[in-house]
Amino acid sequence: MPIKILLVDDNENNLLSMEVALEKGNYVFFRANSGREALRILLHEEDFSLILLDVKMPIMDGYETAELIYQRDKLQQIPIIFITAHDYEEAAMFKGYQTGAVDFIRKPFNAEILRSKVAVFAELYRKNQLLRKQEEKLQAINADLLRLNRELEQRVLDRTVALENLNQELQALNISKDKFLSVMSHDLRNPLTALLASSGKLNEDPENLSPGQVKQLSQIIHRTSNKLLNQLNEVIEWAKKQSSKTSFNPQKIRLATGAEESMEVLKPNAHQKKINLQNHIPKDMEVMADPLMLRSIVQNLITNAIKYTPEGGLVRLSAKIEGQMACIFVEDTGIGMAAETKARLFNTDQKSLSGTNNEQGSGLGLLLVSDFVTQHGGKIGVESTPGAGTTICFTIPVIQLDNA
Amino acid sequence: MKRERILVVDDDDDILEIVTLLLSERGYEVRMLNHGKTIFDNIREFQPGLILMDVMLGDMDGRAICQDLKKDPLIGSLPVILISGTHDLAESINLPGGPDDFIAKPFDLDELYAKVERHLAA
Repeated sequence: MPIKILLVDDNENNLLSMEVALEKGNYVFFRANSGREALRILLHEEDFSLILLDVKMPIMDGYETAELIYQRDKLQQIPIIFITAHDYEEAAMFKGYQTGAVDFIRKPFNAEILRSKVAVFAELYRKNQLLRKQEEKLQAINADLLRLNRELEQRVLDRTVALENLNQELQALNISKDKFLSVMSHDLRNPLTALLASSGKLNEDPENLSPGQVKQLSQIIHRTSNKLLNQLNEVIEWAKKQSSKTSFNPQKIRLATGAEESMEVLKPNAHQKKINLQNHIPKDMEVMADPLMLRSIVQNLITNAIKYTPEGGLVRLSAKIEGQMACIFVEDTGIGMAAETKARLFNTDQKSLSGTNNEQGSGLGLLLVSDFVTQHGGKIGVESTPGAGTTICFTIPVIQLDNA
Repeated sequence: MKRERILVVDDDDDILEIVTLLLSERGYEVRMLNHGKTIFDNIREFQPGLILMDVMLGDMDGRAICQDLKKDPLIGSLPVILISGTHDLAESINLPGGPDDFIAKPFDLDELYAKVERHLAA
């Protein structure tokens, strides 16, 4: 970068002789014949290393010029050397320093002294430039460091989130296991207790029992055996789902037909409570679903609807298409549920509540349903009004008719 | 002779039925209750000599109900046997607010009879 020097003198000869004296310094010179011209040059040209300013000029003298120069913030860093014909009287020098001069040279000047002084300021300018560049470099490095730091923080954050998610999955798995154990220990032990006590009694002194008692005992045995079988099936279904998540095998299914099959199985339950079971699913709607899982979902939801609906109520199936998914509704006119129960409905810690006829359940049903729906990429939700009824809605991929 | 009365509390209707059958057959007068909500009313009305109660009663905990019973000045001396398939309550027997005895599910008939008899006699 060249060293730019502004020479200001009303005498053309003086300007020339200054240039000649400084010729070998490899400087770039700008000349001004008046303070006004000097100011004009300073408006257009930047980065001057030094100003050599004649004090005695008509209209605007050196001091006034210097004052105006230093009024501009951008120019305050440029050193000014006053060139004066006056002797170095203290008052004049003080005035000069007050306006911001850094040095004085006497006219007629000694070329050697002019060269040395200008060289000092040129060197000072170079060093300042160097410092500025280094500072810029440091700032760039600092910015880089800040950016790297931010990136690192982001990566730590990403990893933390990933780890937290993993942790949650593991915890959910653990909760599932706990749930499994609790079901095994409590919900299977209850029917087993009834079964063992009844059969034990029959076995102990059959000759002392009345025919009525024998009948009652065998009825309990039969009922609880069936209950055990159902719960065992639920547990096996759940365990299967836990061990092989790959068994998901979706195929094209006519939804209304699939639902009808599930309903057929549960008609005796509905009949027993005089509940009206209706299928309003459009006949032509087709879905992409695992047949076994879909059956399990629908059966579990209908079973629940019957369980929580008093005698003479209604359980109604319907479906509609929303985008890529079929929304299937299982609606009942049952007892509904409190907001708190609703919030915990699909949690693993939710235990089964007794039905309107005190029906019991393992609490695994909805856990399975939720798992199966998720596996289909669907969602499950619940709307419920205590005393009025509950609607469970789940989504599974639909096959668009116009694509067929 | 006045028959001794037992109140059986369990949320499982099958358990209630078989336990009632077993105890009635032994000559006890049994009342069944499949929730814990009205247990105090049932006790006042039925005046049992013993309570046989499951720990898991839907959304209620038999252990908490037992504590409430034991705090009651009129009912507190009534013997309570807790039944559970998941909790081992052997250590809580006779602690303040704890049950007088504990039976694990599934239970042995002789054990049931023996414990019922012992606490009714006491």
